[in-house]
Amino acid sequence: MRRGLQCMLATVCACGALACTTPLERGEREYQAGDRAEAIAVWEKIDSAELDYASARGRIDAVAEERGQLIERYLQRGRYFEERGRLAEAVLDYRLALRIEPSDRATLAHVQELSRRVAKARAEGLALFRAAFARDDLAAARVHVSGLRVLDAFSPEIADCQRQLAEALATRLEASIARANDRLDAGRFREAESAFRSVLELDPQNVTARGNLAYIERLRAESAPAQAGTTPNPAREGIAPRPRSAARPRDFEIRAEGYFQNAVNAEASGDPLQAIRYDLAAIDADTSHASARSHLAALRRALAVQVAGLLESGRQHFQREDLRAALDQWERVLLIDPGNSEARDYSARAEKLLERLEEMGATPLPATAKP
Amino acid sequence: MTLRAALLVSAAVLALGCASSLDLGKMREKLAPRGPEPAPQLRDEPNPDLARVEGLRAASGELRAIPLRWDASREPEVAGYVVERAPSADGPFAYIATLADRFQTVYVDQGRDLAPKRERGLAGGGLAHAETYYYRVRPFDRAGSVGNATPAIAAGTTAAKPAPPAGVQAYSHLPRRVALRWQPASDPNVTGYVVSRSPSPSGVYAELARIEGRHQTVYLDGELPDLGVFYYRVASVDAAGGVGDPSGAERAVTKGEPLPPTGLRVAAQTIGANTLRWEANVEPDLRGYRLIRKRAQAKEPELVAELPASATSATDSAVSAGETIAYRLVAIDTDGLRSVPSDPVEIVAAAYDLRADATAEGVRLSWSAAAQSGFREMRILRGGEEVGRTGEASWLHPGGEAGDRYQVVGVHADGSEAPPSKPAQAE
Repeated sequence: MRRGLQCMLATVCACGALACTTPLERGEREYQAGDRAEAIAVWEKIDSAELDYASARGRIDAVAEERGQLIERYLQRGRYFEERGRLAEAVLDYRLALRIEPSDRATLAHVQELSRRVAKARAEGLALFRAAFARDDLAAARVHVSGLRVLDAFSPEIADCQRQLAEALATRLEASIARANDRLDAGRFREAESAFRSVLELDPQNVTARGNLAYIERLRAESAPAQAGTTPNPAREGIAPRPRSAARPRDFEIRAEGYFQNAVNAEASGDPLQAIRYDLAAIDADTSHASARSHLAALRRALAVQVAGLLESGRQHFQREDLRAALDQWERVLLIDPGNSEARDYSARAEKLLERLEEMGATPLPATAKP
Repeated sequence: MTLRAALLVSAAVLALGCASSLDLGKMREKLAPRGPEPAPQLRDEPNPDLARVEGLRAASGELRAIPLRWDASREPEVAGYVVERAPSADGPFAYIATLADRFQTVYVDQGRDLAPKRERGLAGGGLAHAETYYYRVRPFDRAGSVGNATPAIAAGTTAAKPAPPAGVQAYSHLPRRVALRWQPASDPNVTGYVVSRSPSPSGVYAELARIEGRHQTVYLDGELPDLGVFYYRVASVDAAGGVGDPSGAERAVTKGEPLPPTGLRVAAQTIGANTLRWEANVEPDLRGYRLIRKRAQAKEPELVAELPASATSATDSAVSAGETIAYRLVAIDTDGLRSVPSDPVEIVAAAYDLRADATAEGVRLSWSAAAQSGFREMRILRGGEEVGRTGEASWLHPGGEAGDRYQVVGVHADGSEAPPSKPAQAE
């Protein structure tokens, strides 16, 4: 009896609350639930003679603008990913745009075309990866899986392949590095060098291998003057006692040197910004790495003239709602000039907007009629 | 909670709050272990003759505990030891335990005391992770006088919070859920994991689950929206309840519903039948399509047919001649996820274009040759009653007059009939 009364009371209250809800509030509720189109539709029905009319018009304009911006940001981010071959991520962003604007036929057609391309390229890439992995060609398998991860960052199948490869590579690299270190400890430089080079075939940026190869080079350079003009250079011959001055560097020093070597290579291959990243990693590994510091300073000096252009380019991307591309430009500025307050402020703003986009991606779809 | 229970809890909290202002001597009494020989009341007068404790060692790396050991004093007048702790080597040192036996030379500091600690808020709650403390141990005699020889100091550090698990992997494209897996922590102190989720990589992560067991390394996050993007982190939990730093954020997206079918169009029309075509959907796990019709006069749409994934056309044979119908197509995948309906296609069904002209010979009926082509013959009805049949596209009703209402009905080769035409009045 008491329970029945409670139920009745609750129903009456609910009905009362519903009756008291104005169309303006109902629209607001739809908006809060993520259905902007329905919110606008509710507000549109408010008659011009009603008190809430002006407020409703204001909300319609604001939400319509916000809706348009969101769609454009998703589309721009989709284009950003598409230009970089990150097709599955592009499809996701286009679909998130379609969620807000389902009647965009051009985007829908493009998503279908892209989805077909992703499916085809994924199947081909997986076949190539599996063939390479089966014949134990880990270097080729690595290349294929890297391409697949770019293509489709969400595929569980590719993630599994990547994990398989990572496990196989870790075992192989560990064994190769241990073998190379043994040779190095035994003063068998040529064999050690060959072993470290085999590591680079599997993992071209491996900092341990690169660092040790640089160390071997240094040993050779140091021993060369002492031997010059007398007997053949033992280091060059492959077996040599380690010079007293060249104590074996510690692991972090080897890693730092490896990063520095990667920086030098990146600069030589025309990617000074990547070189800066490697220099920073080198300094992070070993704060006393003088070569990395001076190399970094030189790179930053040389690139300083680009800062203004990059800032402006970022602003232009931002104005077109292309937040990712804008962020890329400002991150480049910060690599060159870490204290650049403009780039910091702009980046923070773009990141906040991107975060908002991400949050939108996690909200439930507005209810649609499902016949 | 009842009022009485709430009052008791409040009183207890009040008592604990006041404990810091209690007399240290009383505290010492409380800290003294209960044994066969109770610890004497410690006195303020020191005993300068007692030799200092030797061999004090503190072990590091234990979970929120620092074990201490030292060599037993050889002096028979030693009745026990007081253990002191400080947050830095310079002090200030505070009593944390009294051990009432010369051979009681082991003490495990878990911080269950009210002496100062590094981490505020843990005053009575034990030692925290990765904290270093300094200890000294001093003997006391049977009269309770503590030796004042300069004691040795030993430092110990509690274990750091557990490292995040490696290899955290989030499986995307699952229907309304995300599966997570990671490698079991190699640290045997890890007893479980905390999984948390955020809608953005640097956003607020809400705790989803606490998982018991170092080898329980999977988690299924369910009841998620279609095409939802989420970020996950996993942190290890150790036996002392310490939650370590979380792993890096792993992104996952739930499976999206199929795309709405495109290219829906009319492919062919005959009297009583509309054939529609569309482009095949791109999803590899499509179960099929639902073709929906909405007649012009109907309030609700209705299902025409459920079709397999291989279908790219369908015929609706329940169409009246000249009827206006809107069609939409919905794609459904093997997980039961449905697409948004395609754009509607509105079609006016094929009509007979029946004309009835009153002439001196009777009523001349004619209809379109295209309509005729699909049928073996036409039945001619006047006022609902059959008055003739013909295989031609026109027919003369000699007995007909102006004002009579006619209909024609197409008869298929198998004898089945198409819907009748709209009535035409002879003029």
